[in-house]
Amino acid sequence: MDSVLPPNVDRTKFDQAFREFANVVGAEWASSSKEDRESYHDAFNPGDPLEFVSGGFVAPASVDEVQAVVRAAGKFGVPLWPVSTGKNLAYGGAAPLVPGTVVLDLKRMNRIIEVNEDLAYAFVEPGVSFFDLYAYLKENGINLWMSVPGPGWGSIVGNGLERGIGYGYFSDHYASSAGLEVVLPDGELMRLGMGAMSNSTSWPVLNYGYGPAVDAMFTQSNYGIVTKMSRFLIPEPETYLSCEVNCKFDADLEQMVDTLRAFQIDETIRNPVVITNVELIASFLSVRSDWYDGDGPLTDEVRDAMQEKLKLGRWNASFALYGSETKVNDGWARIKQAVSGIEGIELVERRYHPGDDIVHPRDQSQAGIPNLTEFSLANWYGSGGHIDFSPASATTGKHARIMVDKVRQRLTEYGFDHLSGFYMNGRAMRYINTLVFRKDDPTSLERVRKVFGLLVTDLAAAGYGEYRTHLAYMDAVADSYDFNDHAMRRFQERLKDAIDPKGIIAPGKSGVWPRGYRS
Amino acid sequence: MRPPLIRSLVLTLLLGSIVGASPAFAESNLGVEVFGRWCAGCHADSPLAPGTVLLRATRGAEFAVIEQRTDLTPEYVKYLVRKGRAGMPSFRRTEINAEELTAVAEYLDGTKEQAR
Repeated sequence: MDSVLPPNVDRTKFDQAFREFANVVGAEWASSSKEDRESYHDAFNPGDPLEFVSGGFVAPASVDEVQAVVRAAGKFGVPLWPVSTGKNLAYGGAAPLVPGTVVLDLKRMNRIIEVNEDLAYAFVEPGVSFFDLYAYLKENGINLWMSVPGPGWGSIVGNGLERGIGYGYFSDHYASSAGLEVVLPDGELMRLGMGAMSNSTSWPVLNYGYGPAVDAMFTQSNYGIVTKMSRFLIPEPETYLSCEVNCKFDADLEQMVDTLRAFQIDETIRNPVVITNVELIASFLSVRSDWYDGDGPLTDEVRDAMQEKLKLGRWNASFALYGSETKVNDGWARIKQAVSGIEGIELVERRYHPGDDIVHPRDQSQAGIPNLTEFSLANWYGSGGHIDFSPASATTGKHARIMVDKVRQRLTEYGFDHLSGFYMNGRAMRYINTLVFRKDDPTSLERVRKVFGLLVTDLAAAGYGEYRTHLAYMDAVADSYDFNDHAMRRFQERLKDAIDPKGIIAPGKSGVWPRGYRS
Repeated sequence: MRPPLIRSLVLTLLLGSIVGASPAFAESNLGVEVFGRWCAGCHADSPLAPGTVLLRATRGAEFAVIEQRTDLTPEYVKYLVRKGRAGMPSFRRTEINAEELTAVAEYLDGTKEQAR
């Protein structure tokens, strides 16, 4: 195939657009060659890896270049799919939803604009990864910690815009951001929050400006391209205690959730309480064949063996306490007392002070040290395919049990292992289920495609909506947000039509389609 | 089944003697720098590096640590970086440019002699 064209764009216009892109960014950084366009695909797609393939890429290095590229795309009607570093793995990676869409790759915009040690924030461009900022902090002797997600190679801006969650103190990454700068679909530059004031003194630290707040419109969205964003950090604490509450029995789950939630509500625990099943932790450390050679789902005997060998519970809660020695000791003592009534419980603590080496991967993540250990889960079957099913609920043990039972039943029915964990953030939690499949087995691909769709509808029917999803399910998840005949999506579409009438930015992202695609 | 490996992993976790879990950055050699920045997170000589874990399980200990491999040609390394394989995603030109790709392939070619 000579090219993959987006809908309603002929070859002449497509080539003209690429000539203008090349004039803006240089020929090296704009290409629709087969090799380049296929490099923007989803390596872990539950199906043909080229199902969501791009038509090419353009990689600007500055805000001016982003504006010029967007204007050129609008001139020729060529849609753009912005990615920050393209590491949104398990949710589609760097691939666009509509084949032929040109990926606007922002990786070259990788400046750390500012790290403010007094106010504890970093102000960055989209191409800056968690590894990059960590290296900068270390190289400059800055004792500030960030919150990092599991694999640390993603973009700080991109993860925030996807409303990603991490392991650190400011774990709700979008909520701990400000300083947004956006290029709109017509190429105009806009700054949000206090940045809407041209001589603002508080842009990176306060995302409330004046009047209706529109900053959140640019998360999980196709209304514009974010080119700057801040992220709040914390000073390295006097004491950092990494805590585990590991429960031997499956039935302990409800009590764990309800007991530990109270300590997030009263803010004793400020980072996520992550309650992970033993098979997910096993997938961080080993491959499936280390434990089981059967084709069907893991058995209870295998889970027992995992618990025995890994010294873990069926469900394992991890979280951190940060602060003075007195504060940390008081919090841990109260938590230990509260969980002491849970049957078959085991407590683990690892204590750190400034200057200590932090070597356990979860402890690193809670201390803002990025690593890739969790990415091992992709290798569970050895072939790398994985996709995350991530419904949200209120934080109660009752909801946790309902979701576990529904997901487990479906995955068992379709022959998949159930690798899962709850990410509790006080009053709400996300339930992340990693569906690992065999990329090289057509029947495995067919089954995962079916079961994921069923999970979306099953959980939605019970009131649990996904907080984020893979390209293949963006419409299905948007369908599940159905109050008053999808009033929210109809409002989102009205905004889309007003802001981006040509449908230039990320058509179909999060189920929001431009008018031309809807008809 | 490989219980000895699992036991060693648990022991490593309990003893806190994990090495190489985060890339090192401060090297002057471009190939070493690229390896540290982009490869070591998965391919370090560590029981917590995903690529090393997979290779050890599927190919055996002698193929687990790519800096100790003697069978990787620069052309094959370049191919894998650009195309990916199994759990390893591909890496684009905006992440690892042509010069950096050549440097890391040559670096891994150079480690062959030390491994022999």
